[in-house]
Amino acid sequence: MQYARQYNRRFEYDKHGPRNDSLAALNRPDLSYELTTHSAELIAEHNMIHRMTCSFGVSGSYQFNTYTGRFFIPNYRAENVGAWWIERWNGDSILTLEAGIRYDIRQMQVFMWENNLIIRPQHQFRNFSATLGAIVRYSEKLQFNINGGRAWRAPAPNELYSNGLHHGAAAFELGDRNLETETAWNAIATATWHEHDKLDVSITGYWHYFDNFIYATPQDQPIVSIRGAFPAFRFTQNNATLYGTDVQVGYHLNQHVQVISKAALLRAKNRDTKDWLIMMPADRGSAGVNYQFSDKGNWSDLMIGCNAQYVNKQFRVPYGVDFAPPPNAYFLVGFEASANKKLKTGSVLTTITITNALNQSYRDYQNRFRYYADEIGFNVRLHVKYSFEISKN
Amino acid sequence: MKNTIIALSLIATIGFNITGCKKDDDLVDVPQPVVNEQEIITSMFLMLTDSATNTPFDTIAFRDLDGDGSNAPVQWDTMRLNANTTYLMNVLLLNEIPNPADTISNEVAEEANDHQFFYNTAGVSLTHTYLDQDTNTPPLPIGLVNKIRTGAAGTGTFQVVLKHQPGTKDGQQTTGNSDVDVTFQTIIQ
Repeated sequence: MQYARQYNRRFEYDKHGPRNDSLAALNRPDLSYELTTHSAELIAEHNMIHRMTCSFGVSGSYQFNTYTGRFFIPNYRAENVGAWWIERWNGDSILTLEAGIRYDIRQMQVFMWENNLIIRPQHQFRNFSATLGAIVRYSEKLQFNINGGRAWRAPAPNELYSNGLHHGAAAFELGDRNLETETAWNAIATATWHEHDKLDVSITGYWHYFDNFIYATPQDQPIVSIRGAFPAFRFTQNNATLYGTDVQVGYHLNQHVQVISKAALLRAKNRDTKDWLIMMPADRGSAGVNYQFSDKGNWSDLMIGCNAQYVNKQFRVPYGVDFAPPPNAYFLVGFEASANKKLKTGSVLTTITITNALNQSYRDYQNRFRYYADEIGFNVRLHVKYSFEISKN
Repeated sequence: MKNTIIALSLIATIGFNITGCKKDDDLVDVPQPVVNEQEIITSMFLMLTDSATNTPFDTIAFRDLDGDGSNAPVQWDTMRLNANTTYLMNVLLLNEIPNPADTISNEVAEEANDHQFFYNTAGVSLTHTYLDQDTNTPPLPIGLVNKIRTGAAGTGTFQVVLKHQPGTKDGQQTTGNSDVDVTFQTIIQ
């Protein structure tokens, strides 16, 4: 049995202070939220019977959210109740199977002003999810993880009701209160090859078949207020298919030198319009080399490394939807060095990180600021961490 | 089996508690009305007087009655002026959400040393002169009272920008934050 409570208080300030200086002096936030969550979970577990482990449980949470200031999302209360059941079969050293099923109900009561009247719309979402997984330890080095399942999520309050200027992005966000539950069938398969201190390879392929995938899409008309015109995004949903692959290879050349490279490809299709989905990450790859020095006296974790990342232009964008064409591909180089020195009472870990060492001016497709500004240029970060050590007497 | 029964009865208790605490949070039920917001400007009126005859000529309005909300402006006039004419132009800013409306331009006048209007023309022959000044040293224009002079006929735009420059007013449009930024279609005929 577990119980948790979380209280979240958040203030947002606009660059536009109140015009009245005495109000401005109070330095009140433009928008503040309070979000309180209580959650509880009860788990029951069966020990092995015929190599089967069974666990089941229920969980519930209760959440309420209030705001003061400018409207962005409404006040709401949400209650979630879910029950789940998982069976795991530890067949032998080669095979493990797992199956689980879960049913959730989410109820949401919204309170908001509309045309000077309080309205109290209610939403209820209920659905089931399920997983089926297998781990195949084919040999000491080779392992396969295969997972399939069904998942769902209820639209979030902001996706349903947001109606205002998003401070972080200088853009309007418009919710759609008729959004339905997003559901998906998923399949994920991973193959890993592990040779200790030599080679690590992991290849993942995934496929997600969504019904009512919820996402934000740019609106062709900007929202005009007396402060000017702002680009607007509206939450919408479509049937979508996402599939892709992640590949990661780590190779220890010798005791000191390690090479790591990664690549990620994703294809995201809107099945309703037979076009691509907007704002999906572009294909990317990265490679890095680290040199690890041997520890000397009080010095440890002596490392220098460099890495390079290539992000391709996102060619796969829906036709005629976005405010601006996707930005070009970019190539970034970075460096990192770290050292840890042991002192009498603890240790000091110093790390220097250089990002965008070539000072490229570039924009990233997924950053909404790309409509206005470049990403961060040459950047050096010095990080010093002191760890206290408690002597073991 | 016994465990299961205990578990199920606990589920029932939790379920009961979750619905049980509904009444406690009166706060959630009564969201603060957004109408209390004082700092919103919903409407701008450019009041034009023909300076030769000293008769009212026209009032050009921009009105977006939900302030920062997502609804489109309810009124966004085109500015139609006669060629080769001089007009006096007074600016009125209102917040029309409360009733009666707040006259925001009075606040701007009170804090004239921190505010300035800027007027930008494109595509039309129109010159603008400030007729008011603040009490800064040296004095800087405010832009609530102005004179505009049209030239030949043409079509273009007239942009009105109000900058809030607390303690930094320097006569530059690039300083400070925009409280107003509206562009009117302009026809000189």
